[in-house]
Amino acid sequence: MLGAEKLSDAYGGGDAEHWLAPAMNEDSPAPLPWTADEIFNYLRYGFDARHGIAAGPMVDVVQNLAKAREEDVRAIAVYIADRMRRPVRQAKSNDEANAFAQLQESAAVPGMGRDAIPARSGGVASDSGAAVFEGACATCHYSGSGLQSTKPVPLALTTSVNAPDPRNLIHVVQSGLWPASGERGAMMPGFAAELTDDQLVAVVSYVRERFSRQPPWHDVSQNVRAIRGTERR
Amino acid sequence: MIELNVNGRPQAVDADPATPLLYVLRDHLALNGAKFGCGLGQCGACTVMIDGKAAFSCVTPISALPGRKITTVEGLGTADNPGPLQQAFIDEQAAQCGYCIAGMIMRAQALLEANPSPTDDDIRRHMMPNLCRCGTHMRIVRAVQRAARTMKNVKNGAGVNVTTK
Repeated sequence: MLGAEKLSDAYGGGDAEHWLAPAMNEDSPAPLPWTADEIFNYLRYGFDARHGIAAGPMVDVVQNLAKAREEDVRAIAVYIADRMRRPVRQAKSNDEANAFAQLQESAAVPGMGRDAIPARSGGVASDSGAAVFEGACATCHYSGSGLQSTKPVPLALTTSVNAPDPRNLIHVVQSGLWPASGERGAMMPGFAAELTDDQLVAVVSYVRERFSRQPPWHDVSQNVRAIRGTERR
Repeated sequence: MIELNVNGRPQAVDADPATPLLYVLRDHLALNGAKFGCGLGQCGACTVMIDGKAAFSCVTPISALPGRKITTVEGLGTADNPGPLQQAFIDEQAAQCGYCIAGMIMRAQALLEANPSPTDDDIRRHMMPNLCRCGTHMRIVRAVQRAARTMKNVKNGAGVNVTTK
């Protein structure tokens, strides 16, 4: 029936305004399983330290839920956590996922006094992606750097880096993350002016191959070109 | 060696490809207008223009820049012959400590090149990434409006004296 729910795909994810709405069932790309408390953090504050930051269409959701009663938001979180079985793509244990994240955050920054660890093999990432990462991203996304107040969620734990397609990561790299005017919140500069399309492709491919154990993306280039020009600030 | 085009001049720079543009401007090319504030793309003191758009030079590796046009505040005018935005910032006394001002001017320049008649709202929204801890924001908005008027008058051949208050 037109417009009817597909009950077989419940919580399977979908598309929202050219962003990927990630699956919340056993296909969830999150490397660590979501707990009810973490879903509550994400919905209530737009941020969870083990999963990432609400961006794109989810910013409006968080702003609207700020007006809801706290118990209601908690009830949604408990319900969703209960629906999510342990996803098939997740690491064998939380310790293992955290160890991988720690290794990738701390090891591989060429030019910062250590030997370069290349992106994991089998992908399309290039040396230019590594150089862009080092010059544009590593000052924050590197465990040996930065202040506690600027500590980002480890990239290897974020949903966007582990998602089945690169759209959400491209949006974030291109447009950055900006708190609503006058509000506190996570902040990341966008790189739409700093990087060309080819450089965006290179750095997004590099981040996927260095920080995710999922297969490399092969549709980064088409998606960068499709998303270019939609940046919002 | 990496070839950069800064303020219309080709420059060959001998530095690691991952070096942020800001360090090369200041340490290799003696262009000290752009400032180091946070080094994280969060304050805007390092703002320059790349291909006409405002960009944080502290998080732009030089490997990303061959074939692209970089403009710094030094490219807009000199102390003796300031450009319209520089003169407008002087006329409105928009600097207090001055540390953020080169970045403010460059972000404003990118706005006026794309939109010669911005509203105050346009200016506020566009300038949002750049911080001024002295709190001269109101003067900065006035300076950008003043520069927009000057640039239009110059374009229309009105021949105004840009220093007239």
